[in-house]
Amino acid sequence: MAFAKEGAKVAVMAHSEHSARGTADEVQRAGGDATAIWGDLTDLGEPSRQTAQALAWLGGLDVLVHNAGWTLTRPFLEDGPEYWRQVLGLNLVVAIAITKHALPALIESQGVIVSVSSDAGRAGMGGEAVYAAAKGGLTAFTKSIAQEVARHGVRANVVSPGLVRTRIIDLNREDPRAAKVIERIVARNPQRRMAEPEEVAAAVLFLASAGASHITGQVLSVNGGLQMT
Amino acid sequence: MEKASDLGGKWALVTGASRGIGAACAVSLAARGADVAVHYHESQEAAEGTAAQVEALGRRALLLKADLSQPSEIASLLEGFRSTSRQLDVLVLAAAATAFKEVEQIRPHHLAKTYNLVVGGMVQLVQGALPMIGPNGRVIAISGSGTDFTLPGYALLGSAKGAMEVFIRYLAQELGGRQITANCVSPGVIDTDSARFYAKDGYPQFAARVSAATAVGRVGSPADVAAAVTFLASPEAGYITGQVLVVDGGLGLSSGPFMPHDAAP
Ligand SMILES: NC(=O)c1ccc[n+]([C@@H]2O[C@H](COP(=O)([O-])OP(=O)(O)OC[C@H]3O[C@@H](n4cnc5c(N)ncnc54)[C@H](OP(=O)(O)O)[C@@H]3O)[C@@H](O)[C@H]2O)c1
Repeated sequence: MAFAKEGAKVAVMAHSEHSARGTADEVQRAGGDATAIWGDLTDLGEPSRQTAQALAWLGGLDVLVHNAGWTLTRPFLEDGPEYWRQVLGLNLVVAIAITKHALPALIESQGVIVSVSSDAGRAGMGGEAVYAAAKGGLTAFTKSIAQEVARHGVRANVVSPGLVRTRIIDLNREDPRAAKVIERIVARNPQRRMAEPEEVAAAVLFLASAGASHITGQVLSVNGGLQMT
Repeated sequence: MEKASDLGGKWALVTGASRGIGAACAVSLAARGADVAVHYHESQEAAEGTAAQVEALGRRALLLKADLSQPSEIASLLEGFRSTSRQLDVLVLAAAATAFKEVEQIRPHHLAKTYNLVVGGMVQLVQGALPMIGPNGRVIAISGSGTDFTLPGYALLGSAKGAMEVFIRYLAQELGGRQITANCVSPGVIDTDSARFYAKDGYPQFAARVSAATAVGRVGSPADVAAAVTFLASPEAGYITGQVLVVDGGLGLSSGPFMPHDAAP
């Protein structure tokens, strides 16, 4: 939405038709230009098809935001291979795959990548071990891409949120153990609150803007002071 | 991104706003709507130039002179500000000065000058300003890459900036409940008087070497740093606190001169 408000044309890529259309419709209602593209992103054939579809509709690409992500909050010993595959797939492998297909267009436009990682990947997070591994990987991947393509004028940075008031939190709160973890994290936060999604979007938008043209390979946490180093 | 009225009705106080990064911050904050107190030490004419740019943007500018290594002058600076406004929304700490010396060449007066200004001045100014800073207030300090990396002749300023980064984290922690944020912006090499002073006569060669070592292939401009400061000052950045935002063109990304990046596979 933040990009649409700035007048950008937005291709919304999501898992389900429902959520892709939901956001694209919202952009259109606000007078913006958006298209919805959906499919199982963790099936590695999909990102290439979806990226091609997005590029064709956009007619070029200036900003790529890796935002897809998902996890449950539960002890590592309760996880298994199917869950690992999903979490690593959606939080890390999808971003790698989409970057592979989108990078040539970004090089052409001297564009920008912003990955939405997580402070779990920066500091570790009990109850989210595999997610933290995936997000740590996403951060390292983004920094590495920043080094590799800087000479083509492409920048790549990471926004690393703490807790954000979104649907993932609501879902996890249904599990009383996870609800307790969330409560404890908010109580420990210097600002005693979660972020609003708009506060994360503002950081993404800033890193994508011309004002940030000397910022690349960096991690900007939006976490109310939960993690500082 | 540019929302001209974001900081409308707010007051910013920028130290070291006569030249370089501080001056760029003052102008950039004014462009987003803030009235700006322009602090300077010796460069009165330059400070008047900054104030004129602020006023040309239709905002109020207040000139404040002080040697920030002197507690009495900090007190009168705060007094001067209070006589114009009771409310401060954005405090930007950009003033710094040092002697670039190897450790064994550092004398007590070098230490006193750098630490009294960068550390002592920061603590006293923040303490004096806080009663005027309400919810959604911002403290933004300019640190530098000398905290993460060792640079030749940089031990004094690098360690003082290290103290600055740690102090800002404590501030962020303690002020969090009041929804006041405190962050650092850490520039790499920025084209300013101080970078020229650091490189002595060799600035062009220094700048060329640095440009080659950055990912983006250039030294930074004061405006690059000011854009990050202005973003952190904006209402949307209210959940970012205790952080160090590095604006270095990727200078700190690579781990050494193995091979030029454009020769990499
Ligand atoms: N340039 C870089 O590459 C770079 C890199 C990393 C970090 N930084 C940091 O960025 C900040 C701004 O640096 P700059 O490059 O813009 O420096 P600059 O152009 O040399 O400006 C320095 C400012 O500090 C003020 N100042 C010096 N001594 C003072 C004192 N005793 N009391 C009060 N104010 C004093 C000066 O005021 P007057 O001129 O009015 O006396 C001037 O406005 C500094 O904190 C610096 O350490 C710069």
